[in-house]
Amino acid sequence: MPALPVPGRFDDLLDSTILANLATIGPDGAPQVNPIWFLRDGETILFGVKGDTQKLRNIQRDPRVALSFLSPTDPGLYLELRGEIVEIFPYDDLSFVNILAHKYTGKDVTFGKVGEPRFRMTFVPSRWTGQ
Amino acid sequence: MTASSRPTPTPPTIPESLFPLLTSKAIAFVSTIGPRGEPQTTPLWFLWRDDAVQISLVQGRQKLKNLERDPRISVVIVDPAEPTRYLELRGRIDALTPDPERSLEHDIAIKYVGKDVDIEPPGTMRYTARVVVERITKQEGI
Repeated sequence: MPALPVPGRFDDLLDSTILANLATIGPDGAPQVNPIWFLRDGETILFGVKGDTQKLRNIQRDPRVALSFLSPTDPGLYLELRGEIVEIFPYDDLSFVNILAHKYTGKDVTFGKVGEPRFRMTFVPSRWTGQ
Repeated sequence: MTASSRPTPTPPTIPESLFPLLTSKAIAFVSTIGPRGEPQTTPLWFLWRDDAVQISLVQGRQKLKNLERDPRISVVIVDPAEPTRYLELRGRIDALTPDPERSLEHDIAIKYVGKDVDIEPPGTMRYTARVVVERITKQEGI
């Protein structure tokens, strides 16, 4: 499996508004997957999860995750990043989810309330595969 | 019940509105458990046949090795035209069945590209597996 850095030919995918597929490990050790909004930040990927979700509990138990990205227009363009969540940053003012919402929709979220616990995840890849 | 049999949970119902994803040409995201217990995801062609997602696995690949070690799997199918419509099938594969004639891969290639293509070298051994669904998660659009 190739080492870092991720080749530049994947930049378009990582800067696009596709959804990434987040794979985590469930309580029984089985894989679980959710599509998510994400934001590339240099060599890291940021994404958010709400409090009291299975996804959050999975990451707190085992920070190893895989993020995969498939081009909707070119099925031959695909990237999987494997690595770890290195920071789980709590917030409750919608600030980070609004940053994501602006990337994807151009405006603040229409769901969610200030005061709800949310978490910003910082993912650092250690390996990649793709084509 | 014998010691070797385990209760089979009632298979969850796939919502009718998401059924078209199963017969679409969308590429599935298949996640398995790697050798150190970590999640791994790869895109994979699949075929919906006999009420099950069926996949063809190549000898020597990590995904096959993972499933030999741990049959648990997650298969996500996203609507390419509307990414908030998706279906996740969680469960396990029933068995890894040798497919020396690569009959499943043939049918899968016909489904996706209309002709029998295989990027693997001739003689590559393939196995078939059916996904036994134990749980689904989904989103039916925004």
